Amino acid sequence: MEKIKLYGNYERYWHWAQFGAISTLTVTGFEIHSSYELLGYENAVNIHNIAGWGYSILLIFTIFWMIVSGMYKQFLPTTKGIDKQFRFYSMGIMKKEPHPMKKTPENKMNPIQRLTYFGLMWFLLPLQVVTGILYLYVNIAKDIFGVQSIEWIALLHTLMAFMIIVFVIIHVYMITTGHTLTAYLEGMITGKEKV
Amino acid sequence: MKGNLKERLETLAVVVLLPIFTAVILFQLKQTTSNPVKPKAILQANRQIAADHSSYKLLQQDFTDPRDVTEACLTCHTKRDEEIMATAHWRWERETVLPDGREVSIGKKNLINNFCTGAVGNNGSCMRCHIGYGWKDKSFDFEDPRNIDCLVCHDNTGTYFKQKGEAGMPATKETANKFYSVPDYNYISANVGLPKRENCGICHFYGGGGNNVKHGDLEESLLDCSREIDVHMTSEGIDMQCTDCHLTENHNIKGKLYSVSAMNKNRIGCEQCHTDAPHQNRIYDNHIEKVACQTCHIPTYAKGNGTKLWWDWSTAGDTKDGQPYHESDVDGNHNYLTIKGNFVWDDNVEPEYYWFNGTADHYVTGDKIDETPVKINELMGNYKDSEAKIWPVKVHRGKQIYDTGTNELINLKLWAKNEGEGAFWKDFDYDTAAVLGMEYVGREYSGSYDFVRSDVYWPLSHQVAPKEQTLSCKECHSRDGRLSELNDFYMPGKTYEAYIDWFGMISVILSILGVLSHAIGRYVFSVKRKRKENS
Repeated sequence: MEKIKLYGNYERYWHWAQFGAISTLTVTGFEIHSSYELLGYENAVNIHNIAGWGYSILLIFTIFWMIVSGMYKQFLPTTKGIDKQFRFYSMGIMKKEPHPMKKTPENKMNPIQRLTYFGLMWFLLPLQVVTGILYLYVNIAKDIFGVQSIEWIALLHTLMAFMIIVFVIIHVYMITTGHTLTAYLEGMITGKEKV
Repeated sequence: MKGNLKERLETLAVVVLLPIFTAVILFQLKQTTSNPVKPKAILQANRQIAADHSSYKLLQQDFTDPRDVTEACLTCHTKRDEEIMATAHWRWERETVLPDGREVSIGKKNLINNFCTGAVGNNGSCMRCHIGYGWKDKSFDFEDPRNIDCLVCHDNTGTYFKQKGEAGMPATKETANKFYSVPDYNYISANVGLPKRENCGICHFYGGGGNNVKHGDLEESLLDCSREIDVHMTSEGIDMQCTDCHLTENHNIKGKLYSVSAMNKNRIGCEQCHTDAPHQNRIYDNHIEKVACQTCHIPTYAKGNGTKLWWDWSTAGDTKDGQPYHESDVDGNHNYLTIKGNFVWDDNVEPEYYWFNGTADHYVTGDKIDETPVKINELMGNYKDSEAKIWPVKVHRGKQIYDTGTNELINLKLWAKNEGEGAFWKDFDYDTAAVLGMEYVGREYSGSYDFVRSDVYWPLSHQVAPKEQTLSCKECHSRDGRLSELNDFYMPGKTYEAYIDWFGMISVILSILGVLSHAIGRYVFSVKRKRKENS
């Protein structure tokens, strides 16, 4: 096993900024949804809007960065080897079999990751940003798109938020599936990982 | 080369992203702090009258009839009589198109309400609040300018009063008693001016037979009140008069009261002084599209004194040993009067909230009752109506007399000077009062009556609270907040779809269970593996 640089500075910055934004948006978002009271409604709304704006810029910039740097190729879904990967997660990992795919800086994602992140990066998160902006500027959206009510926008936004939580739960758990429990976490902090 | 590109992109990211981040966040932060627009108010009511009326010979004559005072006024103030005679203050009715297209002329003159039920036929008492002299019956001449009472609005001495039971006349030598003396017309006419709160209040505070019976947000405590009761009219602050908002030109006073009005015309808006983006906070200001200013800024009404919320006429007429009696609640307000029935009063009342687009439907006298409670008026509007906003409303509910034969509300003869004239307030006989009341307005009465529930809706605009007491977000943006009855739109924090919340929660729980069982699986296998290695 050798330790190589797997995640560049921007990737790590993006990841952790995204972590901060999504945590903030989730906590404040569900307060706005009246699931609980924590920061106070007005604070929750203001923080949610600012974090939402910040996150939108980050996401747009990241998509731009991915296209220009060619990084997007790593997020294209493939079915090749997906069965092996699935077998590994359900059986092989229990028996401490080696990972079926070796990470390289040009190909960091296994087929299941590719599929998940493709859905996340190109659908779930952008949809959340778009519905969020429509929600925030519903008065303008009304004039431009003839949006009569924020109802479907808000419902979609809520549903997507739940889906993001589901992603985060599984994602956090998957961090522990490296060759040691904290190997992947260290990788995303230092950028270097043993492969 | 590739590594180079990556490094350059990273530099670009830092150079471009950080400033954009900072700028947007600063901009957003700025919009969350509010720095309200300073209102530009010109307080017209405080304008001084230039002319010294005490120097006019014309006003120093020996007046015995108040009509002669009016004539003296009109000598200089020519054509003012024509202005007055065109107003609803004089005519007590207005040409109106109702929301359903009906063209009617409605007003206090002919509408039935669910307080004292109606003025017409009870002129001696009710027309005390008419700006004329002696509208005691149908013979009153609406075309005679001498019948106009200039003083009731323009007296600035506080000594001019119309006498009780005299159809709008002040006391004369013949009628003066220990409560009402003949006004000193020379003193009063020397001290006329623009109407003050006292002038408007004498009718608009006490309508319905007592202070704050009707409006709930308009009552005598406004004459000298704290900031907590009304930020505009408070004597601790700007001390505004009614006509500072109810701007008046040629005796046409701005402002609408929807218990007698129906059309979206001649209304007052807060934006007259406060602009249409008063908060300088984007989220607050966005609310203005769908929420009336009053909704957040009048969290409670009837702050100085209680207001009547329920009036049940069906219990009226009960006597003790043949004598009328009354009972009071803990606050000292009547909750039973032989002449009027049962009441419920309350103070510091939370308004109810309705969509309202500035138009109202009315129960017009003679309409058939097609729903109960009868809607004496109905505020129109809903979420999709671009003119409609959410308004705070006082709803006065009651039970009043109707004709079971014709299925119409009844005009009652309530008031008379003496017993034996058939008035309910003297003789306590509903049947006779109905016969006489209906006869006076020329309507048919079948001879059988009962009582029916009826509601009237009064949008609130007065008793604006200090900004510290404005409604907080959570008052409405919560599952069972103040707007829980308004369900025709999605509102953050209030509306939710149970299926989405359930689906979401179950997905989250399943994913937690999934990773937990996977983790347990890994642990169990690793323990087994270790045992195998050891054995």
